[in-house]
Amino acid sequence: MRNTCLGISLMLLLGTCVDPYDPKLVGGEKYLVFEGTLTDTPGPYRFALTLSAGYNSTESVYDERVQDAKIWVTDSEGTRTDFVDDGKGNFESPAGFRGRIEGEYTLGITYKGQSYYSEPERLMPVPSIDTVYTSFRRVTQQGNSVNGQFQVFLDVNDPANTENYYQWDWIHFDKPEYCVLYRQEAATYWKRCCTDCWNIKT
Amino acid sequence: MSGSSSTFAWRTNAATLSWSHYLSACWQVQSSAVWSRYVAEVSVPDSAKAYLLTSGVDYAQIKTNFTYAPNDRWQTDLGLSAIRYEVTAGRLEAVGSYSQVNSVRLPNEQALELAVYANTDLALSERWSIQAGLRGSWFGRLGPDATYRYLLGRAPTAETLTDSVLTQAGKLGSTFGNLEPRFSVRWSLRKDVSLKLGVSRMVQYLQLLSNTAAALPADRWKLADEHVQPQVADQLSVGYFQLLPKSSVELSAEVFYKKLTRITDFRGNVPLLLNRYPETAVLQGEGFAQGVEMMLRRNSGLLTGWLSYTYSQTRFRLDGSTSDERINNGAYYPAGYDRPHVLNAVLNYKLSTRVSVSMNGVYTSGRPITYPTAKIYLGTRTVPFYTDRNRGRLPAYIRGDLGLVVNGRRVPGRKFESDFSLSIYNVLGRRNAYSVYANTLPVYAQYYNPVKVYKLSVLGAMIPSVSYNFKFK
Repeated sequence: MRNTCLGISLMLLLGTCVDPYDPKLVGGEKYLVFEGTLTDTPGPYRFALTLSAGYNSTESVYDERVQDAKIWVTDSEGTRTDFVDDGKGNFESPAGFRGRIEGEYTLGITYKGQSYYSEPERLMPVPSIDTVYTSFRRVTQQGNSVNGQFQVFLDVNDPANTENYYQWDWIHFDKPEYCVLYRQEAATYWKRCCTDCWNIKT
Repeated sequence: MSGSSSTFAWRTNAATLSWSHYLSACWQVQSSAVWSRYVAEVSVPDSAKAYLLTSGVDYAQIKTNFTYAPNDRWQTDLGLSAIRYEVTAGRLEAVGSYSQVNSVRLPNEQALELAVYANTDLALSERWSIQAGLRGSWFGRLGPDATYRYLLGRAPTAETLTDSVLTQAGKLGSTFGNLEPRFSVRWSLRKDVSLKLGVSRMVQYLQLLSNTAAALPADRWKLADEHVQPQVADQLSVGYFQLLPKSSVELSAEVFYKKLTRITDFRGNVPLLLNRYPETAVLQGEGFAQGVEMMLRRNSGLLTGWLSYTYSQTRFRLDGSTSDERINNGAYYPAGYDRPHVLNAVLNYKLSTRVSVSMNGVYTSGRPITYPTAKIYLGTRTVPFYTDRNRGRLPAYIRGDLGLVVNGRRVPGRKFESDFSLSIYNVLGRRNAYSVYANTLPVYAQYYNPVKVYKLSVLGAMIPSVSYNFKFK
């Protein structure tokens, strides 16, 4: 038996949609968070201790400041350097303290009767930057919010036989035509800059 | 990789050729060749980041089955099967001349699975019948293939990688052999009531590795190798079946327990996508699944259809020797595909000889999801912090469909037949969650960091459709 089967169908197709959703997340235990970077550049180094907040809109990370904590760094010779607390969980290295390449440092923290120690970490040497250069690339695609982008390139002689990971920081200077006068709720009020004005982002 | 919009696409092509022949009154032989190709794609159109990511599985099988049925109380099947797999693990291509994306092409994986099996089904008496089977399977990876070596006694990670062993094209890589037995016995207490006990073992050589709650084409297909070993499932089930002849309703309830050996879940903090060393991104452990399935079915009468409900739990445990190889501190946790409640209802009602209405209802619990447990402040931004896996759940999936079919008048002798159908998909217009994602908004990063959670739904509206089918005989 041979059948010829044909179908005509009409269907209205709809795409995807995105809606706000409340999973009713509640906060719990607060975690102590340390952040800081030690390099061989001149100090002072700023370390910070903060507390985590529950993952929801009602809690914020600075609801509670870290108070009466102590932070210090010990090098391989046993020299201990205590950092100075500003009372809000921000710590600054004392004058004259500077990281030394190939030095081994251990971080110590005490907070609410608990002590925390890091593994000893060696300050690794970094090859110097040979050249920094930029190139501008125009973005012609329609609907894109920017019409161009700067690409920044670094040339570094990385030793081939060791695996290294790099982090670099930069400061971005941008000369705007208009400056923000003030913000009110969702609206932002602008005025033409009277003098040379720089937006600086790190 | 990111983009302003992503397009997901899936495609399956398949072809089957089968041939069946009676050798004698008792012997029948059935041979078939099956080919299928599954392709999944993710594409992003943004000029500088435009890319196309492809993955997929090619499957080719030839099999022959001999059936020996000397009488209506005994049937035996013997068979051979050969399957060739080819997995496209991942291919990333730049799209357009502005794209800055570096193309990546992971080597394909290929393997051969050979199996020989026997199965016999025997009615011992009016009350007792048994079914017993054994499948012997052999799985071998085929070159070109690369196997990586890691420090002895240490889990595969980027840091413990020491060496690689290459398998040339046409040569055999790692191989596995397994016996998969199955046995079941049915005991009829009465003509309309029976009990069934079943035990079986199943081995799976192809796995889908995933690190998302939503099914995405970015998931990774993986053929078993010495680091990601085949998964074994041993199942024990007890079932109760009853027929209610007056109402022509079938009733069944089944309890099952499945022991899972060498389940795979993602490790966390190691990307799975386009990873040349997928074994460094996953962990293997054990697990179990248990539950009860109930079903009510009616096959004749004006009202037909079925109602089924399953309650089940699937739990994994990854309890490796170091804390990096443990998930949730080595405790059992819900598997990514665990859905405790599944309710299905399909009902058809014949209004007249030509008109029938149908209703379809689905309720399933949402899949587990991992929400951040905290937000922490680092540098100038607030970042989510994760601890335990799969503690949360997506909202439940609920859908109802309605349909109406009107058959054209059948005129004896006429060669033209037609029918008209009208259906509404998702009558409730419910926006079921396909995935949920969260953003931490940096309003004033330290002092006010609201969290916005969004639910993405696909086909989240009522979809009516009309169709007209006709056929010539």
